Amino acid sequence: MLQIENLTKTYTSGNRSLTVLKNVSFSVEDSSTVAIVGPSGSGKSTLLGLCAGLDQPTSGKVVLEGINLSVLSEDERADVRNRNIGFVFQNFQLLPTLTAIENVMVPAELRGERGVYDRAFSLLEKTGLADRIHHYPSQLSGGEQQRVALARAFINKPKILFADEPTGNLDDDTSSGITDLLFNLNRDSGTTLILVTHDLELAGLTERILRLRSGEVISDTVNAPSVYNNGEKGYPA
Amino acid sequence: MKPLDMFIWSLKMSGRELRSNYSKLLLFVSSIIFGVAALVSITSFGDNLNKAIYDQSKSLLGADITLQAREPFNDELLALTDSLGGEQAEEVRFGSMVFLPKTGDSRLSQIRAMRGNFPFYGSIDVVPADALNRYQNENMALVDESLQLQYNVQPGDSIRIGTRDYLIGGIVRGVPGETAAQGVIGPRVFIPLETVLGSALLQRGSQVTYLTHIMNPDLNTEGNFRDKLRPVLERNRARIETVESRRASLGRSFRNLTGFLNLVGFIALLLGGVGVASSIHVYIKQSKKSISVLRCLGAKLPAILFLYTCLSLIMGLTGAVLGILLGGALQTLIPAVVQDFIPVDVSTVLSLRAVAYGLVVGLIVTLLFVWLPLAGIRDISPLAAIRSSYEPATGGKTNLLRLFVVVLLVAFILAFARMQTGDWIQSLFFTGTIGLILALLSLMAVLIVFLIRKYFPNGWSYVWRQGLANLFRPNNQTRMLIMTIGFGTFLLAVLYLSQRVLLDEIRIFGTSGQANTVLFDVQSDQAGPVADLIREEGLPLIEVAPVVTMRIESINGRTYQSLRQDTTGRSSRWALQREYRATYRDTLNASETITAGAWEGIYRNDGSPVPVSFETGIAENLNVSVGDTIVFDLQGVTVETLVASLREVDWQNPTPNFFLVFPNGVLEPAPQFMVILTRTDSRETSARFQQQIVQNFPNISIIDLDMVLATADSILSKVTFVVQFMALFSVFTGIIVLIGAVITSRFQRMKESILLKTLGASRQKVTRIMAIEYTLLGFLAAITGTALSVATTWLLALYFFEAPFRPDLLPLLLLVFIVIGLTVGIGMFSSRSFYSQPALDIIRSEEV
Repeated sequence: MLQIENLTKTYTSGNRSLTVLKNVSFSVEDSSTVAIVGPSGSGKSTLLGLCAGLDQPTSGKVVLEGINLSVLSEDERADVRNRNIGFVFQNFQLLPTLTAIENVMVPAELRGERGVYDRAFSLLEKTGLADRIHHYPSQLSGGEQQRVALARAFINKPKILFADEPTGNLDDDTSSGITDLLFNLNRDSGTTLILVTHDLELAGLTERILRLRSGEVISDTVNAPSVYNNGEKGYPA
Repeated sequence: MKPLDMFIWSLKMSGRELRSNYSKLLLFVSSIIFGVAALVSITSFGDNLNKAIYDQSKSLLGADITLQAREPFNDELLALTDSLGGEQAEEVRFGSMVFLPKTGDSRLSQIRAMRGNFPFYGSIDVVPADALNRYQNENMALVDESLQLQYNVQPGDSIRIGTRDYLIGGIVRGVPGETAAQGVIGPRVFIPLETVLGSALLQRGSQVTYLTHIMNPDLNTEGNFRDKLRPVLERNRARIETVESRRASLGRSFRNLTGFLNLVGFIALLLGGVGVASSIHVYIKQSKKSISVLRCLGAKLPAILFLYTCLSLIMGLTGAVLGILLGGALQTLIPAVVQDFIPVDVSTVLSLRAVAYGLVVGLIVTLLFVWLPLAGIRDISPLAAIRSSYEPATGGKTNLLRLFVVVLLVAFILAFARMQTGDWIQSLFFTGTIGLILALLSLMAVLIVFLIRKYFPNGWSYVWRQGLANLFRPNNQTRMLIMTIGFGTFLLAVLYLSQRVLLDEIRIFGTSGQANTVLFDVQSDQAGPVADLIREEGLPLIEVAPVVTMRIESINGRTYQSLRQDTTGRSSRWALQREYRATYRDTLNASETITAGAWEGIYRNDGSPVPVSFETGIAENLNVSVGDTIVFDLQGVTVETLVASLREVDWQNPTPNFFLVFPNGVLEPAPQFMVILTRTDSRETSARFQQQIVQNFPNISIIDLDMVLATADSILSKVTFVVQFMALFSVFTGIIVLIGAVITSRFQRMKESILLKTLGASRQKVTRIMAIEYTLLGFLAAITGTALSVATTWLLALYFFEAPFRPDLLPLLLLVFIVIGLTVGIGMFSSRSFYSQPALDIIRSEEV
């Protein structure tokens, strides 16, 4: 599904350069769940950005579904993202001028699909927002906004879902609901999940945990048995 | 995504954006409303004017053909007029003093001595109407309304022209084909031709034009009709005007007028364009997050660019439609504004061409200006969705795209100006000046912000520091406001200052010691008695200059006819054909400087060509230089001359100045008249002196320079009013852009104000911070615009008006205060709800 080879990212500002990722390599299997954890500034978000084709590495390569993202233009990568990737952000990142259902429809509309209303409605129904579909983001609570974001992430039936601190802006109760929803939707659609978080409890729900520090992978552990692998809901002890 | 899908998606998304932001976007749109309104109203007026000129072209001339010459028609010309048949009317037109016994005043007027039923088409507007049919039979006069307004003369009063008294039969309110302004320059007085024939008013040397008007609808005056008559006319130095030629020349003049007014209106549209660009820039900045999310979700760059272009086009279309509606209403006012300068009745139907024109130009301006900020979308990375601090550098491709848009914009402005003026040089000057002024204003804004940051007064009070800091904070509107408000101020100040330069120039005549009264057409035998009268009245005899009229016979052996027919020749036709009024003397006067050759003041009478001196401008028009020989026809006698010198003449110097000066010893015996200069110090003295002259020497014309000044003042005021009317569009645009800018930066300012309020700042403190910011913005814009206007007017005065420039500071200061007041007023009014807004709403607002 995803292969990362010797990925390095250096930011240059004036005469100063800062390497935030150093020779990172790993691969992710189809339908698996992976958490990338590490303290602030360890390079988690940068790695996610590169994996999702949001940015270009300084060296190394990212191969997603057999496509080398490192050699594609921004617009070609946008196409790959639209066809293969779903996103869930910490700040929800809903478009403020669009209603909940319109936000969900956007990725499908970008593919040129028409008549996606029913699909979007069904996803919002699954997330428990059937009665809020015409509300604008500013009229929804944080938890509701993240539910809309989850519905949006799954509208195109992505092969891989990147979630960047999906519960980072939510209180504990709401977090729990969102986590349930995220893993359930992921399991139902057989999507590969890559989760960036510094919440070890959340990371513990995935099959594998990659630990980053100062831009390097310091550990890559299998987190078995996953409570979600056998279709049961629950948290590891 | 296929192009059609992209189009549909962009339209759908545009609709969604508009739905949520329509009030914010409406203000962006408003920026172009006044510019489009100006273009539509002027274009529609121009179309209606053209149609009126076409429809009323016969009454513009009053006849099918008019022949005119400076001398009574000779046998050949009489034979020509006979051959043209139809009904004919004769007219002799000349300048003369009109004495008003009722008030004791005299006024130099345009006398139209008429015989026949002219005008054949259209009618002179006279009150009472029947006076037009009676005045020739009853030897009455019809006088211009301006004479009535100035001296309160009424039908039944009498006037004196030369030695003859006329009863005023009616008041002339309008003459077909002539403008009201023409009557202000010289009041028109219609009298029967029989009453002046053979009188002293038409003696040799007087400026008289003889005209024959012909009505013959059977004549085909189109095509090469005029060409066929040209040899006879040129031989006799006569001119012909037909309905077609009058229509063409009027069409040209008014194309220039509407072209000029359209350019002034176009400036408003360009200012609006700057406002649109700035608003879109801020809008894109505020939408950056959404754009990065869209890119994250897989939107390609063309799709996003297309989305915002669609949005801008919808806004542009709305603005253009509103502008067209406003323009349609305003175009009904334009004929009233310019009524003194148009000779026809213009309808006020909105022309379809104007509607299409406003729509297309409005959309092009919107599109070109929005593409400047839209190019920046290239640099918004999808990464910004997960890293809020991510700020990539502007890419080279973005800068190239912006450069391309700027080139397109300049090309469009140039093409538009060329369309209006028909002249590339003027268009380049227009485009260059606008570009330079906007660039200087922009540079000044950058410099001011830089200086404020560098020398920030940390010791000043908190309120002042906040107000100053607002000028360079993120989402500030400093540059855009200084550009738009500054440009509006610049336009108004340049108009005002230019008008002052022209009026001051004329006022020089009135300064102490300078001549303010000029006596023309003084015959040789009248010079002595007139000089005696001047002395008796206790007035100074400032100058007596003899004038001899002559025409060019040949230049360097080539006859006048062959030079005129030579289409490759570089001599101007008018310079060849004109009657020259030369003087003779042995010295140069104070206003003359020799620039080539040598001045010769005395002719040795040795049979050699007479050494003459030409003014440099006319020498250029004639394409002659030192050493060339010119033969003049002095009323039947030929004189061979040699161009001995060229002179630069200061035409502003109030002495009689001449194109051509002969040395003493040649022209003394020639038929001549004198120009005499004197000075009267009061209105009473002037009136008494003029009365004496008119009564004793009725053929003499007097130019009262105080009257000239008053007339120029009146005409310039009318011209200025028309131009200021158009400049108002720029001012209104400036106000809209200002309101737009305040609203655009509203969320930023609102959040700051609410945070300050939350932290304990009083309402008064928050208000004072905003007041300081807008005062500074208004002040900087007004001062910069005014300073640039002073510099520009100085350059105009130096190179264009060739006049001294002394800016009057008081009105400029007043303008600066008005601009500051407007800026603060609008700024504070638009921000009035900031303090009363609930803090929580703002702090939680996602749009900040």
